[in-house]
Amino acid sequence: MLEFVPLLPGAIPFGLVVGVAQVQAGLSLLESVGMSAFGYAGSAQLVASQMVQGGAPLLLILLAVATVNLRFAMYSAVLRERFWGFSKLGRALNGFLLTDQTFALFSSKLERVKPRERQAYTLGVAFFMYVVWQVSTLVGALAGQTLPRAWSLDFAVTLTFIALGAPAVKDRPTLAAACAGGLAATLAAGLPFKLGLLVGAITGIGVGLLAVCLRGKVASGGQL
Amino acid sequence: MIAFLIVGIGVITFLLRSSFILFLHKGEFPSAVRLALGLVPAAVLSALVWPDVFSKAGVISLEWDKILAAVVGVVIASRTRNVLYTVLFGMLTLWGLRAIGL
Repeated sequence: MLEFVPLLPGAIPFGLVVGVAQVQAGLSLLESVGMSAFGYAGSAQLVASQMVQGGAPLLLILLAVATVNLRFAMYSAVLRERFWGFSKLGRALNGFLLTDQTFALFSSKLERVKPRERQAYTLGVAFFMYVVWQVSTLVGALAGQTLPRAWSLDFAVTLTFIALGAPAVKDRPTLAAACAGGLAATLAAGLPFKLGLLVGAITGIGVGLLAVCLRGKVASGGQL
Repeated sequence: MIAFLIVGIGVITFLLRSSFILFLHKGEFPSAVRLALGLVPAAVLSALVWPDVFSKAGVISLEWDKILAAVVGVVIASRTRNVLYTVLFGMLTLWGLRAIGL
């Protein structure tokens, strides 16, 4: 049951960083709390805060949020088998509370939990992480109001994304997706309203699919 | 209006997270979709990271302190899968390189 404890050293610093960033981007304390309570998605909260500060239109911010959070659809697809037998409410709550960390935990450890106990287990861990996030971002927001603008904190955010992204690269297609996506996003970084992010994501997925197709052709002995 | 933004983010995120757990949990879905989904985290997270490392304010800019710190981050993340260590050693690298004037 205590398997979530190793998740805390990742979640708490991230929460602090997000809280600080939101407030320094101009959000009020209440708005910051609202983002964490209803959005509950650190990377999206960060991107959204930056865009609010940059004066982006609402729809484009939501587009960026959808892009950043698209990976949750993948997590959802992987976990649906693990959640076999859960009630509708259990699914809905787990859906709302899904994060990178709970995904990592559940996709590997849930099999070891007795089927009848799985729903309670997932909800217990997920709620706990949710509370940890609310507290961390609140503390960050309170601190951010008093801290001077620590510009190198931006890079801590980047490092957090690196920590989340590095394990996602596990084979040639994902490596291709990462390199193509990163390169495209960098080249398109001059586009307004974080559109470069969307360009990078689409390019990365496209190149990754290409790599899968090529791998398939080579494996089946076909002509390239 | 930040309130609309918060609600919008909440709804979008909930829909994405619950997509296969709550709504599409019955039935098969094509392996092509699954394949594409598998590539999303790598593509999106790289699209977030690379511009931060290799550009500044929309223009390509090679700052070696950031690049080296990012490399350290990637190595630590790949080996430990630990967010805290990644951030810690990455930031120490950054500050260290800045201190020696890189």
